[in-house]
Amino acid sequence: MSDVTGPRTSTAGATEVGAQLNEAGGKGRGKSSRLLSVGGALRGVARQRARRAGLPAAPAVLIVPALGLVGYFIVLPIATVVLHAFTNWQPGMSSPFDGLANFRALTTSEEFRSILGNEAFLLLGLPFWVAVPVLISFALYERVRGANVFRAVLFFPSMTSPALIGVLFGLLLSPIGPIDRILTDLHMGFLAQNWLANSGLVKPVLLCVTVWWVTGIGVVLFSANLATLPQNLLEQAEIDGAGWMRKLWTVVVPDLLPTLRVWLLLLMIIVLGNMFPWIYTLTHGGPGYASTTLDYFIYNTAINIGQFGPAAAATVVLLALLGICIGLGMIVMKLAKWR
Amino acid sequence: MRHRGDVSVFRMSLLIVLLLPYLAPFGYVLFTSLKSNATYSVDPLGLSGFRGLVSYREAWSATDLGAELLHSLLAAGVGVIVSVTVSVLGGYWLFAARSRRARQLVSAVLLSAMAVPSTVYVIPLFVQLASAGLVDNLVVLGTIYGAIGAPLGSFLMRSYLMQLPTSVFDAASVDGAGTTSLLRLVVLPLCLPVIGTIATLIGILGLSDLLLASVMITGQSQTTAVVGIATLANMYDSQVPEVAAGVVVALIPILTVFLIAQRALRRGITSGMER
Repeated sequence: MSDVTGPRTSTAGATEVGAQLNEAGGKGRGKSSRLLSVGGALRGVARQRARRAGLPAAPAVLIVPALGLVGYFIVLPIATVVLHAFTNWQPGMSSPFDGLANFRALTTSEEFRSILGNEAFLLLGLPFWVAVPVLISFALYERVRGANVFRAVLFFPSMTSPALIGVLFGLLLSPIGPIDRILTDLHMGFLAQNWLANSGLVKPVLLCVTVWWVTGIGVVLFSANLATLPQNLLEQAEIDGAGWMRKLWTVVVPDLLPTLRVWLLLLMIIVLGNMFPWIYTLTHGGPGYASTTLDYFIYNTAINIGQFGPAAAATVVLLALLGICIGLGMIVMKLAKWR
Repeated sequence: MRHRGDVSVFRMSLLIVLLLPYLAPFGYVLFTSLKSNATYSVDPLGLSGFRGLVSYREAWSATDLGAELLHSLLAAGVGVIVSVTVSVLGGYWLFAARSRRARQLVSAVLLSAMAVPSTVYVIPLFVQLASAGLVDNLVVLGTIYGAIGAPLGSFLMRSYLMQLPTSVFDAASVDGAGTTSLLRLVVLPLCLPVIGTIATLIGILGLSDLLLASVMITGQSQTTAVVGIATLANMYDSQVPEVAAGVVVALIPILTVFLIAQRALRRGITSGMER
């Protein structure tokens, strides 16, 4: 056992970037992901200083385009929006300093409170978003025939546009759509309803649709991680009489911790900042504010209503929530690793 | 042994059941795109009332889908070119820069730029670009995709360089090659697989984007395909077959990129294994 944990820790220490590599490399699946994750495990070795010493020093000019683009298109706007959160922001006109007025307006707004509730609901759904791909990749791990085809089928939707998938599910879930039709034909018409116009159901439905979409990426990520898991570890556990659940908890989940950390980070970014295409194509935030998310609110408040100050304040709230969630997530994962 | 076999049969059937919700929506949208409006509203699942490609023609003319697809391809193409160029240079710098401090600092900046969702900066970026007269411009939109892809691309590039065998660079530096010729003669040819990966990821990002494309392109004349379909879905609520046809058409470029990239990646991997 101990001889396997040695090299494994180097992968465990791999940063988010390392896993991004696995994610991207996982597109080839099977061999490719295996090869690239082995590359990831070797990174500790590859870090030898001797390698760099042999090369001419790379001039700083090489990094200027990347920093310039990121600076102009990402960092500068972020600075702008944070500063203007404290002003009565009117683009093209003078924007007088306004203190916390924008934030005060948000805290008294019924809509904004509903939005925070919606975000909390989606964040509580995270275990679901984690469990589904972990279980699937574990089920695919032990030489299942057709595993690659299966992974490809799951992976394709998560590589397509959320907006197009949103439109597609809008058709599926509509009251004249096939889901309600099938329910009626099966004499379960009492279940048929306008899924997206029911304020109690709209959030769970959104959760299911987004899980449907995101699972493929998760399966590719977790499978790439599992490919580096020594086969004999599981066999050993089996000989020791471990059942499916026990193997999952004692061997697979600890092995997946580094990927889990990246995955949680990714999910939080999606839930807090990338729900827009789903809301835009499926619900427009309705019924009422039952499905409005923070990012949709920001878009709607600035672009449709033209209130840039409150939108900027909501952006700061988003950034703060993202920071808190990522920080908490990191702490939890760290504790889990120590245990 | 027998027990194991039972388990795998059970698992196989479970997987097949799981595949259904993944295949059915795509099958449904293809099926519906071939039906007529009238038969769809009477019986969405009925096996009658097909009308060939009429819905496609309607979707094509209703939203000017052909031009929109070209707009999408232009923006995504610019995004790919920009991000690949910037990532090759930046990734090599992250790999070979002398100062460890500088590398860490730049990595931190790029990593945080990567973690911030585009919702955070889309509004101020719009204001910034509008005052510079740069909105309604597909090349600028593509450059934004390039900027978003630059951090990820640079990191992928660096990781790839790190796992190449040391000997590759030894030979080159003995020859006394400068950075420029090193990049051109050694790094670029060796890194084609990872360049393919970066290009694919950013291409798909550009072809899929709704938020940036709908904010940065205000006029009707420059709309991208995804925005066009989303608008169509909102406008023609009752004409489901037409929307379905639009979704199918807009999925085609993404599916193409997906399939091509798989092959390119496999080629890169096999050539890597031969060595």
